[in-house]
Amino acid sequence: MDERVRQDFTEFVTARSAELLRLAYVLTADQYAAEDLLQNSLIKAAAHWGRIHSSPEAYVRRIMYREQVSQWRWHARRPETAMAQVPEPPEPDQAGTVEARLTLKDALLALPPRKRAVLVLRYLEDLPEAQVASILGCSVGTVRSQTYKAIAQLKATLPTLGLSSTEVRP
Amino acid sequence: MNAPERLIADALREIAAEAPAARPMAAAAWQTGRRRRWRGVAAAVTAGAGAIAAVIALTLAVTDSPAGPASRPPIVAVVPVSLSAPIQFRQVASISTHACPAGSSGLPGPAAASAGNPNPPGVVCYKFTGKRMTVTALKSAAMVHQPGGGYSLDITFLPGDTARFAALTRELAGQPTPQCQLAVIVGGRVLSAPTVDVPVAQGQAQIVGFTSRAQVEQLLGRG
Repeated sequence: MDERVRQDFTEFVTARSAELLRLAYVLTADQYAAEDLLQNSLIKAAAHWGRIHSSPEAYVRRIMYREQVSQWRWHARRPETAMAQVPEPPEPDQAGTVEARLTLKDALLALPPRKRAVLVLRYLEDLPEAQVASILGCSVGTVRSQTYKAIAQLKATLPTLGLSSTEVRP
Repeated sequence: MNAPERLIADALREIAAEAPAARPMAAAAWQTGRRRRWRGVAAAVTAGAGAIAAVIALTLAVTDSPAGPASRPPIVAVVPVSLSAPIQFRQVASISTHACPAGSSGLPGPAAASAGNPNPPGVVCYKFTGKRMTVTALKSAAMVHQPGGGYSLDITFLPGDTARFAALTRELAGQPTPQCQLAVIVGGRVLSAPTVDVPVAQGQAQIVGFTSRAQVEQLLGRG
């Protein structure tokens, strides 16, 4: 019995881990954090694998979103920034040139985890607000305000893109 | 969906496409997940009867103890070990010469001994890059008493972690100091930050820097 469940789990992970890692990467924007997020989520899923009857993929994805949000809470309590490179002293502001190089992708990667998670669920997975709220374990109002703030932040960094925050209000 | 929303979705899709290739992680995740579940069951059983827990308790092999007045045998865990707290390995970005200021992003740890300063005093502040991995279980672990004092732990990673550790150490090997140093973090403290000279592909490592036997036992869930 356990052996059959194990085989099922192994097959699922082998078949889906590439796709799941892509989600982890969009959520964390960091290769190592993405691998950690996926592995921790798979560990949690493995503990209950025999009892998942509907869609295992949806189950794992939900764990990943929740983990990411709880990590966000953890970081809020004890702030620590993971940096890809050794931190450099801040350079004098070269507003014009920096702004010109910024792309929407960079702006998205600079968003805090929770805001990005909301945008991923709303626009990449194209889910209705109620379902986003249920996945993240928060209220619909929080989903709305996070979406609004995230887009306002994108708009602030990218005035040229014409991202109007009123336009995307539901 | 209107235009800005489509732009955002496209950009997110673009980010997703840049994700690195997935490494095999099914085996390690399965073992850890199942063991965690059994540990939960064991706690429930112990609370009730206390009889069956021994079946799944960590197996301890007894070997000769080197020394120590209240010397108990070294711990050698020969079955896969669930850790009571995760062990994190992180690439060091910088090491300052004083304790971390309040609100700092760094973590405290011991100062490294050097040729000019064999007994550095006190606690210094380590800062890290984003390169890291976290393990919550090990294939095996053996505690060793260090002749100079303190304890170390010889560990073997589970297969999935072995591949990740190999990739991480490959990135660090050959970098300048301190970016070639891999900090070992347990409970928000740096235990040690050994220099990685060559990639570690076999999944075996030694963690030094434990100050007491109780510290090791607690980490292995035996405290």
